[in-house]
Amino acid sequence: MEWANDGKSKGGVLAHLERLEIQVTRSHKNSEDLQRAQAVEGSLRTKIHKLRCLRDELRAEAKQRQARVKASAANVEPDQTLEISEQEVAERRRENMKAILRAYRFTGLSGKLTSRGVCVCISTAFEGNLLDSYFVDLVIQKPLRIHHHSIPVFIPLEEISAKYLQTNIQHFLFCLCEYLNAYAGRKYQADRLQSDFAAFLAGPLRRNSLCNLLSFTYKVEPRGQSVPFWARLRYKDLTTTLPTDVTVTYRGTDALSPSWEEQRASHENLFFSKPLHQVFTSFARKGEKLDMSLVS
Amino acid sequence: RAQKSLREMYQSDSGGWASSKDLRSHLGNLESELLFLSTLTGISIRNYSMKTEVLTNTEKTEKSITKVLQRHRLSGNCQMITFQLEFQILEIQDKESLSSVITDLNIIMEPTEYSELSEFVSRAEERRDLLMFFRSLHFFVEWCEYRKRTFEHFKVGSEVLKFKHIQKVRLV
Repeated sequence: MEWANDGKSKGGVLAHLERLEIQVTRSHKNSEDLQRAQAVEGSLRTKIHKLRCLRDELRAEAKQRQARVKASAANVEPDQTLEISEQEVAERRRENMKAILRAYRFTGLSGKLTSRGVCVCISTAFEGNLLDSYFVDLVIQKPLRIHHHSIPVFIPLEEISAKYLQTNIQHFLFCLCEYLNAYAGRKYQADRLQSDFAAFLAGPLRRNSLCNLLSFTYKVEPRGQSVPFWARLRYKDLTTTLPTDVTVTYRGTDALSPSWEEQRASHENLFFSKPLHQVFTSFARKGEKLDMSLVS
Repeated sequence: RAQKSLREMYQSDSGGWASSKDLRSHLGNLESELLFLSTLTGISIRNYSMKTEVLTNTEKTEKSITKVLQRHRLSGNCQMITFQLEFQILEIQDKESLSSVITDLNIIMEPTEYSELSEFVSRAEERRDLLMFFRSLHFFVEWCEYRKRTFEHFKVGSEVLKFKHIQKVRLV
């Protein structure tokens, strides 16, 4: 291509044009940047304005409130305010104290003072489940004695009182609390087995009132062809919620296959280490897994 | 068999006071009760509040079931150790029975140098076992006191021995 030759060199004009082009784009960019900066400045200015207005509003409100407080303090009789607030304070204290007294049940021991002495309430719980409460009404005399109580007859109350009541009330009540909580926990497990896992039991759950001797026949799968096992659980330590002796036997006539023998042994371990109803929950879960595998 | 609720055991007082004297003597009784319980349990509860929320029943078939969620806040101390508890209890009432379950338990304590303390606190939180928390805290504090006293006793003893030893050296 040929360029018009007006005396300047070819490169000169092109370079000049290029320089002009760069200048134009630069000035465009500058003006863009400027526009952007101006926009930001504008929005910041409005923001500052808004905040200043808000500050002024709040200042005015604060002044108003101060004035109101001063006015009300000046208007009211000094004696009246004292009397009213004393009553109010006392009532609030009373409500607070009553609430705190009720809250003591969460520590396991709560109670009320009586004309004779004190009536102590023992609360029981197992795994976060709040269970029954029992009371012991004590007469503060020498010797200390139990006026009446709601402790079940199979809890060794006489034994515990003989050991601790006269020498250490705290120990007596802590000990009773331990026995009652353990009983409540064992009872809870047995109740849950009966109500939630009846399908797994091939016969009634045999239990004593202390819930420290349980026996039952069960199947790992409620509907399947699994082998029935007979289990006997003994809780010799009355302060625990897990058994001290576990026996799981197969009461069939034919020999037990090695895989079932393995299961039998593992079940014994399970009953030792987990609460009763949780053992059956794990049986149910295994069964679910089995079903899922059959479906897929 | 319906569970006896604790509310039935504590009959609420009738409102209205004949005089402020009655109120003050009643406050005195309440203070004595609180002192007794804090001495007995080893736990001093300073503050307690509870909020209840009736949960709306989405199951149309179970009309006879009511569910109430209680949010409890409790704070206090066991000697020098302070604690704050926040826990939730779900109460479900159906035709036959009332069940109460702790559904959430948060135990907030200041960090101490005792790692055993934080161990049983997190175990209690996991198991949602309030009784275990309070009982363990009480026994732990008692054990600390006993250990301190025993250590003090031996510290004094050894200083006495040191003195005797110095005297013997001087004589030589």
